[in-house]
Amino acid sequence: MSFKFTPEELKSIEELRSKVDDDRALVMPVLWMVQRKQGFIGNDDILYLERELGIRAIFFAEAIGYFAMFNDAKKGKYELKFCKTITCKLRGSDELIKFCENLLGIKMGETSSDGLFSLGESECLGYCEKAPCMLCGLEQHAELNEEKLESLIQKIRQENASR
Amino acid sequence: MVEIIVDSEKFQVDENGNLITELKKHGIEIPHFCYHEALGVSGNCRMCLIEVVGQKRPQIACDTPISAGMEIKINSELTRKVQKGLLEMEFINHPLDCPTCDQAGECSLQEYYMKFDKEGSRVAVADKVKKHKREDFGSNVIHDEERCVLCRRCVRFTQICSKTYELGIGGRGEHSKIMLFNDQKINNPYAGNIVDICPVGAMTSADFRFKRRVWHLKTTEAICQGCERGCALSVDSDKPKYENEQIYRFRARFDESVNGHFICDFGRYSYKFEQLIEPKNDNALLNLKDELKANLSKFDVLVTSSLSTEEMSAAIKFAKSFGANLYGYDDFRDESFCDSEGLKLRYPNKTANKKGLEHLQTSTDLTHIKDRVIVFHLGDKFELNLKNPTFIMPRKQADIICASAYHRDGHTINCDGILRFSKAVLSPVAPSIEQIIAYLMDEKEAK
Repeated sequence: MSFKFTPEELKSIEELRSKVDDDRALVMPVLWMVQRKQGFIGNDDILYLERELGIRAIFFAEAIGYFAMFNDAKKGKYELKFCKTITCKLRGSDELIKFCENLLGIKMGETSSDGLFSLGESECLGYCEKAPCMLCGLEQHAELNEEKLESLIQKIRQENASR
Repeated sequence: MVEIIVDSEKFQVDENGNLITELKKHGIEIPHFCYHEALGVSGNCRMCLIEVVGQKRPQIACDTPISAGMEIKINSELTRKVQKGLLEMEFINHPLDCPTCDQAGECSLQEYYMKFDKEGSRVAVADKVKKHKREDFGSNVIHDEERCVLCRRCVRFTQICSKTYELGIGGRGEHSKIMLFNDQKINNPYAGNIVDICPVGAMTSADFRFKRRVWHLKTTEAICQGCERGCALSVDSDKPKYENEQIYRFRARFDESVNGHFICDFGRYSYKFEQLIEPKNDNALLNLKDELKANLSKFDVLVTSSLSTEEMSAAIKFAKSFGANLYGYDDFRDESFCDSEGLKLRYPNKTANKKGLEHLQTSTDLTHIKDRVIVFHLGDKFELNLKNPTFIMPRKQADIICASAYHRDGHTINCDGILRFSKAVLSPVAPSIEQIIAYLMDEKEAK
């Protein structure tokens, strides 16, 4: 199933378009729309956006390549993105990542076989005073340690198993 | 015009101009990668950082507005320090294999290193980041990611000039690279210019790559004969050992009034058909001469719009002296060749001198043309509904082989009525049309 805008979304894009003087300003908000809905933005989606909005495909591709929060391929339902900057590293994020990899049975950048988790890195989350930290979806988790991480993963697994 | 001070010397420059371009006119070079006169300011390479008196930090010359009395220092200690630092950064992951790089000899990075840096490397060869090499980007463009300095000239060319938007920059920081969207290859009629504008060896031509070292090449200024636009060309030729001289490539030559900085790919690769061909048949010319003497009134002469103005006037003289009718032929129109988008350098008439033929006011109505016709033409053979034509052309299928347009001097008038001179690239093996006509008229021998 490929991505399509709803009439309301298209209307809101047109509203945005009237406020900016360069159509390229729409690239980021539009990419967010797609990402929120389906979790990633594939090449087919970019071609759809190009046709629908008249903004060149390469501009979307450049933005996806530059910004770490945009995915160009399908990811797990819950994306765990560890902050990769120096403060978190000094507070032991590398060990935590290894622990997490063992726990989920996947490596960095991979998605678990049940499609629930994927592991990734993020640029600085601006949470250095509570390092190490990570994103789970769009939610920040700070002052992480092995127990916290394990209980979070278990909680998510239980929630999804009971559904 | 305003006066500015460069290294305590005064210069008159255009206030609305760009420092790099304006100082170039005075023979002063400010090193730069990303700035290009046709592509405008991008300001991302930082190579043109210079010391501006009164400013706290070095400023980029490409985007610093010119004001009266401003003082800049392009040879100061600070400027040199910045340039050295910049070059060191560019060289961290750049391969230092100039002798094997196709761009050696015309690479800005190489030139600036010799001019401003000459420092040893502080990075061990083994530590360098290895990237993709020889990626086929389509349209004869081969990309070498390792050599790229990310100046975005190629990206801006596809956005500003060809308006085809094939290239972009993906990734960030040291992972940045030139990319194609969805592996869709470059597909535009001006792709060869991407190779020309690349300041380093990141974009190379699949057609020219590793065929010749550029310092062996002889460059001649010429005019493209591919269409009526008549773009300015630099023709690079060389004589390999034990072989005939050859043309190796055409490059765009700057001509503000005609083509700016660029040429189309059709013109660029048309050099392949313009190599020297040795005349195969000496008797053909002699037979034609005898036939002409015997049957003076049976001939007509047909000139095409591919000839130079000099050749056309020689043909007029020729036709007059034999009492033959002179006809002109300029029906080389190809509407699909014309551009409506992008640089618009391609003109539907695919010969160089249509305007020149119009000046002759010859008849282009061929209904009463005789069956015995001598056709003077430079280019590929064309279909003509005649029973007994003699084609004099620089092609193998010709009845009499003559020198091609790039092997003789000549003037052409382009679609805008601009008269320009094209110099011979090589001394021809075959006689030129003018020499053939002189021979037929008993003036002198055809070489």
